[in-house]
Amino acid sequence: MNKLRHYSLAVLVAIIALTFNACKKDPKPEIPEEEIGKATLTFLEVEREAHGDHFHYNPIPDAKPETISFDSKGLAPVGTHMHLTAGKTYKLTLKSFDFANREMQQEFLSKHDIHQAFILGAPAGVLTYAYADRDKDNKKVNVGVTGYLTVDKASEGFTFRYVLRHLNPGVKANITAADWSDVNFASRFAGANDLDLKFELHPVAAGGHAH
Amino acid sequence: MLKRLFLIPFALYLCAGDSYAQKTPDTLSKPAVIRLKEVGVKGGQKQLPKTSISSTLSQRDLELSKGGTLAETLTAVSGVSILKSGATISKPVIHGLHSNRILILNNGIRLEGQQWGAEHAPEIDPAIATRIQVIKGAESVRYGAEALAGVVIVEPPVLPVSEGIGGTVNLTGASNGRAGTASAMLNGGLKALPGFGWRIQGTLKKAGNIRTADYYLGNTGVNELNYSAALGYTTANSSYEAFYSRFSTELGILYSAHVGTKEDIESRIAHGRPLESYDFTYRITAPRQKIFHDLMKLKANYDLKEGKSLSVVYGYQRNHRKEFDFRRGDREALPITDLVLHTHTLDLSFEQQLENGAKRLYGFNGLVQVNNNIPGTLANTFIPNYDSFTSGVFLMQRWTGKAFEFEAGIRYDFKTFEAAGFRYQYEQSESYGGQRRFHNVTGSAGALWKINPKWHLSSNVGLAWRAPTANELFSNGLHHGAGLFEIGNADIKAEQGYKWVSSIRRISSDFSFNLDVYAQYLHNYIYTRPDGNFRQTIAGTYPIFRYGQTNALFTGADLSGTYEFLPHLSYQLNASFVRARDLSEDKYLPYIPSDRVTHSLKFELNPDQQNTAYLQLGHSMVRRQTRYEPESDYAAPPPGYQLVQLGAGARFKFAARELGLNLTVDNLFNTAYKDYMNRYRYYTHDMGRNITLRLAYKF
Repeated sequence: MNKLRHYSLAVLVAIIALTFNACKKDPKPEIPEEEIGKATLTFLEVEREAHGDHFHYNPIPDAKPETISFDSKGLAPVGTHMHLTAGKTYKLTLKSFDFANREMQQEFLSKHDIHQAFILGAPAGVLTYAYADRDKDNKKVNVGVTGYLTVDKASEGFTFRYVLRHLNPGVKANITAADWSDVNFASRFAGANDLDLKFELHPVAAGGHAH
Repeated sequence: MLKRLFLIPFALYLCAGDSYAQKTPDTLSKPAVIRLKEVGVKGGQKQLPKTSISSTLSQRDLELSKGGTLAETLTAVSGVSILKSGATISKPVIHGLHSNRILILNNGIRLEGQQWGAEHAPEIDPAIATRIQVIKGAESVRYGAEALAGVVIVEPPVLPVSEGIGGTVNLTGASNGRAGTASAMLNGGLKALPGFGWRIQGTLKKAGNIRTADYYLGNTGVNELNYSAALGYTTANSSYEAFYSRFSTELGILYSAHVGTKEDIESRIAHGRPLESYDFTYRITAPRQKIFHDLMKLKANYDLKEGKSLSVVYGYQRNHRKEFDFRRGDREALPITDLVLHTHTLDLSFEQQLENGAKRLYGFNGLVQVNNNIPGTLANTFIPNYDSFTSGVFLMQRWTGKAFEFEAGIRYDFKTFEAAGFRYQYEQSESYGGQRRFHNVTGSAGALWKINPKWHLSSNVGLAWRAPTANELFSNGLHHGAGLFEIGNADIKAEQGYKWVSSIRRISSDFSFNLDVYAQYLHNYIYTRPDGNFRQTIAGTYPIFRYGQTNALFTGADLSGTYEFLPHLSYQLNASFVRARDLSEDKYLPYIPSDRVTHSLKFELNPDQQNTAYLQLGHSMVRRQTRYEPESDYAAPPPGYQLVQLGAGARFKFAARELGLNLTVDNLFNTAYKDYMNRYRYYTHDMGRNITLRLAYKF
C-alpha cells in the first residue's frame, strides 16, 4: 500500500503541475514592414526629342506635376479622373510608402532583377511607355518607378492600371521593355503583384476639352 | 528509486512555463526509464489479434520505402492515401481525413507539431521505425483527442537487454531529384550490466529539384538531418527508458505555387504547368520551410503483485517552425512565420489482469502546450501565442473468450485554450484571443470473433473528438502561397466523430485478404469555404475563405489481399474508395481521395530460402474525382491516371548478417499526370520516372 500511496501522490502532483502552469501571454505587436501602405503616381509634362533611334526627354521649366494618391487598398479617391493631352509626353513617377510613411520605391530599384511595372488598360495605339530607371551604378534598368508616357492620340476614357510585379526567380530575364503593356502579364511573367493601382484616365485632343 | 524517478518528470512539468533551458543532457544521463512491453502501444513481437482494426508495416515492408517521407511510407496500407503540397510536403490521409484528425504516436508519444494547414508535414523520420501500425478506428479512448480517423504508431526497435552489438545501414539513391539518403542504427548492451541496452540512430538526406515527365519543378529540394539516442534498463519487475530524437528539415516550396491574386491563379491554371522553367539544382531558396523537432521521452514501467502493472511516460517536444517567403527588400532572410511550440505530456496507466484473461486499464493523460511567436518577423502573426492544458482520464476493459474478444472503454477530457495575439492593420490594429474551454466524453467498443483459424471478423465503434486549433479559431490574414485570405471563427465548437469500422480477414499462406468497411459521422466538422467576397489590398484582390462547421458523413471500404498462384508467383492487391458528404449543405467535401487500385505480380526465386531474389511488376489506377463542388474549387479535378512500377531485389544471408538490395522504377513510362490530392496540381504535374536503388545491411 505504501507504493500505491506514492503513485496517488504522483498523480496529484501531476494534476497540480498541469493546472497551475503559468505561461507568458504578451504578444509583441509585430508591424508588417513589408506591406505597402500607400502609393502615388505623378505625371509631369516633358518635351520629347527624337535622337536617332531613341528619344531624349527634356524638362519643361514651368510644367506643373499632377499627382494621384492611392490608399492601402490601392484605390484613388472617389471620382478621380485625369486628363492627359494627345501629342504630349509625361514623366511618370511612382512613390510608395511603407507602414511608417517612409518612401520605399528605392527597394524596387535595388532589386530590379525581380521587379517590373506594366501599364495597362489603354486602347491600342493610345499610349507609349518607356522605362527610365537607373540602378545604383547608373545603368539603365526596366522597373517602371520612373518612365515616360507619351499620349499618341486621344481616345475614350479608360481605367489606367499600373501593376508592379514581384517576379519569381529567373522570370525577368525573359521580359523586354517592349512588354510594358502586355495584358497577359499574369500568364507570361510569373510572380505576384506588389502594387496594383487603378484610376480613370482620359487622353484628350490638344486644344482643350471640357467636362 | 521510485520517488526519484517520479520527480524527474514532475520537476520538468513545474518549470514548463518560461524556462526551457536545455535540460535534456542532464536527464538523459540518468539511467532512467524503459520498458519493452508498452502499455497502450503494442510492443513486442507476439501480437494477439485485437478488436482494433489495423494494418501493420513490417520491417520488410519498410525497407521498400526507405528514403521516403512518413506519408509516402504509409501509402502501402490500403485506405491510406497522401495529401501533398508539391513534391516536398506530404501528409497521410486515413479514410479521407488528415492533419488534426489523425493522431501520430512517435515512440509512444503523441506527435505535437504545428499543423496549421496542409503544407505542414509530420515531423518524423520513418527510418527509425521497425514497425508502423495504422489503426483505422476512432480510438480516442486510449490515445486521446484527434484520433478521429485513426492512429499511426511509429515504433523503433526494442532495446537490447544483453551484451552484443548490432545494427543496420540503409543507403538509398533516387534518380529523380538526384536524392541520396543514408541511415544507420547501432544498438547494443553491456556484459557488465545485464538488462541495459542502448541505441543510436541517424539519417541524412539530400535531394534537389524534382522532375515531372517533362520539366523540373523549381525549388523542390530537401535537406534533412535526423538523429536519436535511447537508453534502457530492465530488471525482473521494472523497466526504464530514456529517449531523445531530433528531426530537422529544410525544404523548398515550389516557386510556381507562390501565387498572388485571382488573376495570377487563373492564368496559371489555364497554363496547367509552371510559367517559368528551371534546371536541376540542390539549392533551396525562399519560399522555404525550416523545421526542428526535438522529442525527449522518459518512461518507467513496474510490474506489481497480482498481475498489476504501472507505467509512467513523460514526453517533452519542442517544435520550431520557420517559414520564409518571397519578401521585399532584404527580408527574405527573415522568417515570415517563426513559431516555437513546447509540449509536455504525462501519461500514466495502470493495468490489471483479471480472471479469465480479462484486463482492465486505467489511465491519465496530461498535456501542456505553450506556443510562442518569436518576435522579429516583421510580419503579422498568423497564429497567436497560446497556452493549452488538456487532461483526460480513461478506463478500458477487455474480456477474452475462446473465440471472442471484447473491448470497451470510456474517457473524459478537459481542455483549456488561451490565446493572445496582435494584428496590425492600417485601419485598425487589434489584440485578439481569449480563453476557451472544451470538455468531452468519448467511448469505444469493439469485438473480435475468431470464426476459425482462417477467418476473423472484427467490429469497432468509437466516438472521438478534437478541439478547434489556433488557426481555425483565430487566423485572419493572407495565407501566403495559397493566395487566400483566411478568416477564423473564435466561436467554433469542438468536432465529434462517430466511427464504425468492421473488418473481415482471411488468414492463410496461399490466399489471405482483408476487407475493411467503415462509416463515420462527423458532427461540427470544421472546414473552410469561400464566402464569395474578396479582400482588396494594394497588391490586388484575394478571395476570402472562412472557417465554418457542418455535419459530414464519410463512408468507404479498403481491400487488401494476396493470392499465391504458385510457390514462386503471387498476386497482391490494394484497393480503396471513400465517399464524403456535407450533410447540412448536401454537397461534396473537397480533397477527398478518389477511388484507387494498386496491384502487382511478384515472381520470387527460392521464396523459403536464406538467399532470395524477386521481380515485381506493379500497376496502379487512380480514378478522376467526380464528386466535387465546382464553385468551391479553382479548377475541376484532374483526369484519372495509371502508373506502372517495376521492382527487383535480392537478399543474402551470411550467419547473422543480411544484405538486401532493391531496385524500383516508379512511373516506368514517365507518364505526365496530376493527382487531385496534390494541392499544387493546378500549376504542376506530379513526379516523372524515378529509379531508386536501396541497400540494406543488417549485422
